[in-house]
Amino acid sequence: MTANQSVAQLDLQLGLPPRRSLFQDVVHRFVRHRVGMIGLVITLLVVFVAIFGPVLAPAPPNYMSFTEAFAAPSLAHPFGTDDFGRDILSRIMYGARVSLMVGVISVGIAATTGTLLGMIAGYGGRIVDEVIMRIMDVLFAFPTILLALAVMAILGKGINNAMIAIGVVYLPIFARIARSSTLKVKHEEFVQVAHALGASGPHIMLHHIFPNILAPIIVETSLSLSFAILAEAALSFFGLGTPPPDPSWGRMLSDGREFFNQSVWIGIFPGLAIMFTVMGFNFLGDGLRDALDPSMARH
Amino acid sequence: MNYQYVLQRLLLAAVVVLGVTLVVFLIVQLIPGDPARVSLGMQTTEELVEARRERMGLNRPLLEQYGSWLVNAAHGDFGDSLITGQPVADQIVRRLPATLQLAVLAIVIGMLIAFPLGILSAMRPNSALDVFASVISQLGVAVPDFWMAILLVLLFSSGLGWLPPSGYTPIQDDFSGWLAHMILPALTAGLISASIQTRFIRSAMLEVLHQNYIKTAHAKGLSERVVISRHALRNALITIVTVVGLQVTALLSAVVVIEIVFNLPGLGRLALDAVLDRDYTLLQGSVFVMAFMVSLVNLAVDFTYFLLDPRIEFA
Amino acid sequence: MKKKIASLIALGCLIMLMVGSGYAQDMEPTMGGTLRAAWQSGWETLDPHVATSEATNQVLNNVMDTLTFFDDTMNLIPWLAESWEQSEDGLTWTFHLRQDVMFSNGRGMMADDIVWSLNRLIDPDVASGSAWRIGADSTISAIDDYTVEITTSAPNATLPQALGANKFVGILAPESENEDGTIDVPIGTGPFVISEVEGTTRIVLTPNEYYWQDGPYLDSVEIVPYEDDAARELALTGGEVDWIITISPQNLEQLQADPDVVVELSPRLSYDYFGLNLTREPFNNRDVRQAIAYAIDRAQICAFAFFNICEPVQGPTASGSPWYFPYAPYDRNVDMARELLAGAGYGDGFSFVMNTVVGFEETQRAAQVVQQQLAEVGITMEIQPEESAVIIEKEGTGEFDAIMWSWLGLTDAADYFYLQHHTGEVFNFTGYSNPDFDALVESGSQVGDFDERYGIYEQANQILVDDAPYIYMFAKSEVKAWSPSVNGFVVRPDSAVNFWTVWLDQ
Repeated sequence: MTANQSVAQLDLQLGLPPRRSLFQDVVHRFVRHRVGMIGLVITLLVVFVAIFGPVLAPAPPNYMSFTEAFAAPSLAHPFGTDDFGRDILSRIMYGARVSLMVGVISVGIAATTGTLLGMIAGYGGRIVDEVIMRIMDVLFAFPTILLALAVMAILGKGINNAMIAIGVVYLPIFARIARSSTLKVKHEEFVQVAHALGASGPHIMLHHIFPNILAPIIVETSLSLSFAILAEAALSFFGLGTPPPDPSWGRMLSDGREFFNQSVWIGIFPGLAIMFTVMGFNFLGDGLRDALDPSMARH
Repeated sequence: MNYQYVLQRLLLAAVVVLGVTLVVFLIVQLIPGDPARVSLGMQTTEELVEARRERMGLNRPLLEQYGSWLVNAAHGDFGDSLITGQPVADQIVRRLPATLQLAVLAIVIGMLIAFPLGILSAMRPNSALDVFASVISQLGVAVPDFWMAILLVLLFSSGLGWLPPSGYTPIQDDFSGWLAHMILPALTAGLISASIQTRFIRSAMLEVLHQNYIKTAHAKGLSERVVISRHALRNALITIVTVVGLQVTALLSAVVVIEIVFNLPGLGRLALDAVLDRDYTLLQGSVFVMAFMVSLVNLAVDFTYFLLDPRIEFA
Repeated sequence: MKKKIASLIALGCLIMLMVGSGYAQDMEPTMGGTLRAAWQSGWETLDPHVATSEATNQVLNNVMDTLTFFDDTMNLIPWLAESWEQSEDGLTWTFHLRQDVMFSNGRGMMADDIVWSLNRLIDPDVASGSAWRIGADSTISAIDDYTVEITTSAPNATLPQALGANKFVGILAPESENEDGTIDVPIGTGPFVISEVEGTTRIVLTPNEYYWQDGPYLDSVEIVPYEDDAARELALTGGEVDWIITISPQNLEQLQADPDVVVELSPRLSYDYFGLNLTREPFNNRDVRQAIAYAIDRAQICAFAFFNICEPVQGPTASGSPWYFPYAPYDRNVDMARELLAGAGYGDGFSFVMNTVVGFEETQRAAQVVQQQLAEVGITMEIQPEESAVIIEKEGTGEFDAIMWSWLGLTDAADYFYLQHHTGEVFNFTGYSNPDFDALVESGSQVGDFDERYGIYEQANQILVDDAPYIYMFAKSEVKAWSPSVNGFVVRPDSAVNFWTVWLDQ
């Protein structure tokens, strides 16, 4: 019989309501957060489409049916066809995969390196802190699009380099958040104790600090996903995002923009897909923030 | 006043600016391609390229090149553009007004929308207005900027015919012409910035409104208007200044796209062209100036912080 | 859709004829007014011997003159030179200058100015991209005040054409040069002078009061670049500019239907192609290149890449050019393509990367159609857009599989066949080299008689199309649009922008 179970039994005997773990608390708060739940549903839907898109899509996304170009939305093509007669619904379904991949990988790059640097800055000495954070300040001073374009000019074109470029751009935000959170928990008792017991720096960072700064990182991750998707759209606007013909929403949107006068659906539906998804991530982020950090909760 | 704090901030800002110059220099070094070749165009020979490299000083040690760029830049000399042959500094100075005007107008529009909306929705949480404000601000963040720009042009220019779709008139030539041309670009950037600001202002106000001294003020029987304006707003200002400061960075990024869509002769477009054309000297100068501006704003934010709340320590 | 556009083009041409010949001439031009013109991209330098971009040439169209000129239907006519003749041995050309021409600074133009201009053009230190038009080893000398002699190292039958090709071979006053030998603003003999330059964002032209011909009618021309197609068209329909240099092809019908917009078309002396890297496998194999030429459907590419405002071509020249040759062996034949591939040992196909050019939307569009067509014969093509600066670098270093772009500003057969195809020429980035072809295009530029030249280039064209170092896809039409208050502008096949005939309704 573990300690938790015995407490639960004791509570039961005393007629107290069941206690919840910290995690259960978070889940409980999140489930009651209406906006957050909407965000979760949207996010799950997008993930579902991204995974099963190839099975669900009515047509191959890049197949040009030249006789069907510029078809308005209909039963056969619910979102219409584009300038090459490609089925827009199918392209959006495949595009979910591209956009989500760009979001997840670029934010993954930003979150892991940013968090690591932030933790080192926060936990390390003053000099380490100064050096890392001044570098972050420098990166932060560049307008994001220009920095991303410059990184792509260095690395070369292509979706992989676009993800790295977007990752570099959003790295300083994670570093700042991780650092300030680390500074808060650094002087907590459990960290001091671990230190006194002779635990190594990396060990303390990984096992004691990291779990305790996770909450703001998770929130920022969710919010950054939407920035990353918008950044890919902006790179596509300059003709440098996903190369044609692969359907990223950003590329579909900037291509569709050229047909806004005649065939508005070519640009409208990818635009809606981006809006929908970005709002989903933001809602999810809001919900997570309120659930993870009750003191920050909206009233 | 704490002079040591001011001095330390200034020193730090200088370090960051120096870092910016180093990063810009590294970018130029790392981008594949040869500035000498770019400046000579397509029809050229290896001997000509080598001679041009020598003349442009590209064969000197890197540290020396960086040093001389730094010294010249400190004197306002960023070299000549490889493509147009014009002094980079001249081009930047000519492009600055449009960008600065756009940024200022956008922030003002953003604040004009965000302040009333943020404060009112914080005062009446979960009211219809609050829901409306949060939906609007969510939408504003979720729409790609070039998309928003096109929708606005279609509505106000092609549709209603109220405003010109693009172009620029210098403010000193014709004020009303300038304003007519700036409204749509500023509105595009302003709406996006308003969405973000509204959220921050709302949560900053909420936090303050629930603190004890506000409750005390209410208990003392002060009217809500007095409480909001005299106590709550002032204390929320610190957060808001930070947010506005952060907006400038985001804005300078949006500016690149907006200047293209509205054909504004601004710095963002210049820097973008420089990157796309591989005009290395222009790239170095224009990107540096944009990053320098952001650093200045960050410094200004720090000082405003300090003036608003002198208790803030140097961390 | 195809038919509709074709009939609209026909209608457009008809309207053009009416405008060109009918009522426009009945109306007296009115003086005055500012024409606000939208360019597609910013100019680089305005030094004609350093610049290479079409945007700069189009500004200089109104500022500089050339010894010879092409009229609106591309006939060679006298201009700064009243007449010219070739020596018996074919090596020397003598040009007799007009005596009433003044530079915009009021100084009379003399033979020494021509000598100075053309010597600067071929000066290796200036490294002009147009020096080849005269030949770097030519001698230029003044016989008297109004006679100039140009001696080339080999007979050059088309030197008069070369000297009217564009403004990069134009005449400018030595006073244009700064002390350090650079030129900010050329002083020419053209109808306008450049009176204001704001970086690459705005140029103002005002009339040259010493201009030697009638015109110009305008008080000034304000030129502003609009990189974004949508923004440029909105600027015209929104009254922000009066004249735009090009439109996006998909909006042709809509703009033609707009009563507040005049759209005119003309054939264009250009071709869109993709060049294959002949120094790489498998493109070093002629059968593979021919297979690709058979595998693509040019009509479909033209329809979906440029909305049929173009003509499918199998060689460099299109039917509107005097140098058009009806040799067209490559109508789409998938079986033939597969056979050729199998014979070359690529029965299972192969993969390659096609570089397209950022900002040239038609290349992204054409590449996607080509990709699907090549997939049907088992060739996997990956599309990789790059900025034009990167493409030029790749062409120089040979680091590419295939590049898709266009070649424009062509008048004479030599422009079409020599520059991009002769062994070792800088613009021939594919590495194509065929001595038989070289011999033909070399002799082609030494012969004066048109019929004889036509015969020579016809053979050259056949060799080139059979060798297929480039796959020619289509020739675009030139499309420009303006507000109905703009009169007298003529859309030219060579994309030249001449504003001295333009006047505005007041």
